[in-house]
Amino acid sequence: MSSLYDFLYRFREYFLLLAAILVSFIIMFSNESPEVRALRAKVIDGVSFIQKPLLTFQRLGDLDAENLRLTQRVTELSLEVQKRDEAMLENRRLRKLLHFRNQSQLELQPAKIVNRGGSTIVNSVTIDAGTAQGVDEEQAVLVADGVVGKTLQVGSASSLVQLLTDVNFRLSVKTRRTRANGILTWEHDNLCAMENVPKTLDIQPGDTVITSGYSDIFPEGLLVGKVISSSNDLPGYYKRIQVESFVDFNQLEEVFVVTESPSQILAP
Amino acid sequence: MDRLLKYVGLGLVAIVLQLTVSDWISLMGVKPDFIMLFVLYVGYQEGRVYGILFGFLFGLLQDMTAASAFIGLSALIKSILGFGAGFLHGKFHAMNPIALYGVAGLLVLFGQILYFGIYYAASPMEFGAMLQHLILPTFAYTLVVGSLILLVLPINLQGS
Repeated sequence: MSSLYDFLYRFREYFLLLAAILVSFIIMFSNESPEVRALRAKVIDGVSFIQKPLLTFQRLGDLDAENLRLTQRVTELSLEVQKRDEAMLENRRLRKLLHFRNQSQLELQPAKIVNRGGSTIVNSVTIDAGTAQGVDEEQAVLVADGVVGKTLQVGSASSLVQLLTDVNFRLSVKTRRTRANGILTWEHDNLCAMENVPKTLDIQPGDTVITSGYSDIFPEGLLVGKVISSSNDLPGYYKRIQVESFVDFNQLEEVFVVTESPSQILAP
Repeated sequence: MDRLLKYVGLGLVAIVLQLTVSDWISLMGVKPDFIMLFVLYVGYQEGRVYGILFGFLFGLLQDMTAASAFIGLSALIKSILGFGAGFLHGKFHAMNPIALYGVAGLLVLFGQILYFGIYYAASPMEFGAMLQHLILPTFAYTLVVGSLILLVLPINLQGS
């Protein structure tokens, strides 16, 4: 007994390392268990609690510049709105003529990004909206430029958002021009690959990529990015297509969560 | 007990730095890994047991704050790194400072390769692209920040 104790004590660092490795693997394989998810939700709430005051302090310094930029933007948008009003009237008239169904609006919950995750790469953000604001797991997260990601874990007042730049994120998409469907996965920086697109389909650089609507999370027609290269040089049946996201993930500050999405919206 | 509390405090500072400062100074989406620097420091100062324990706990905390599909991956990598750094414990006088720094740098590189290699194992990303866009930038940035911390803060590297 004593010799066993001596043996364990002598190699305690190795046994401890082995235990740490084993526990790490057990945790990795139980990521979806309710206990781990609940613990994570609590950690996210805690992080958000620490982060909010720091964020307020950080943003105070940017207020003057932001105010000037917003004033300029408001002026530009006022002019834009005048043009849009004209276009909307025309659009309504044409829709009526074509007997289009009334398009329902997405319910959007605005949220601020309070943290960009503890990882060394930006593949997740914490936002200051949770169940109290009507946010639930697996809801689409957007900005005006396009799709940002989806909610992964939701706490009472904050949520963890998995970004498009996470390697495990998959998005069902199609091209606006030719309606070619594919699966979008992130590659690096702002670049993604559109996979599973047969070589016979017509896809050109510059084509706009939108969500396909074959998903319970993302409604059809949300902007995603544009094709920057398309080639048939891969072996097999599928094209190699690179898509650049419209969203600059390093500059995200505010996002919208789609808290109630209709099953279908009209593609733009 | 005092040492334990000191490292818990330092670890919490590293977590706060990871969640705040690393975000503010991120370049092209790449951030330095303060937790990795902390774990190397603990392993170096206190040996393998502390290195493994603090690597595991603070790696796990880091995992919890990211949308990682692998909660536990950072805990795994940081435990191994803490163990590796523990071999440098008490070697301040026995090793050339450049060699000491070089081994610490290699540990950081090894940690990055292991982390991204496992994390992106299922992705179509090739290793070359991973090296170019993720591993080397994160490694270099972490090393630069670690060197700056050593230069600026009065850190005693002669061991406790």
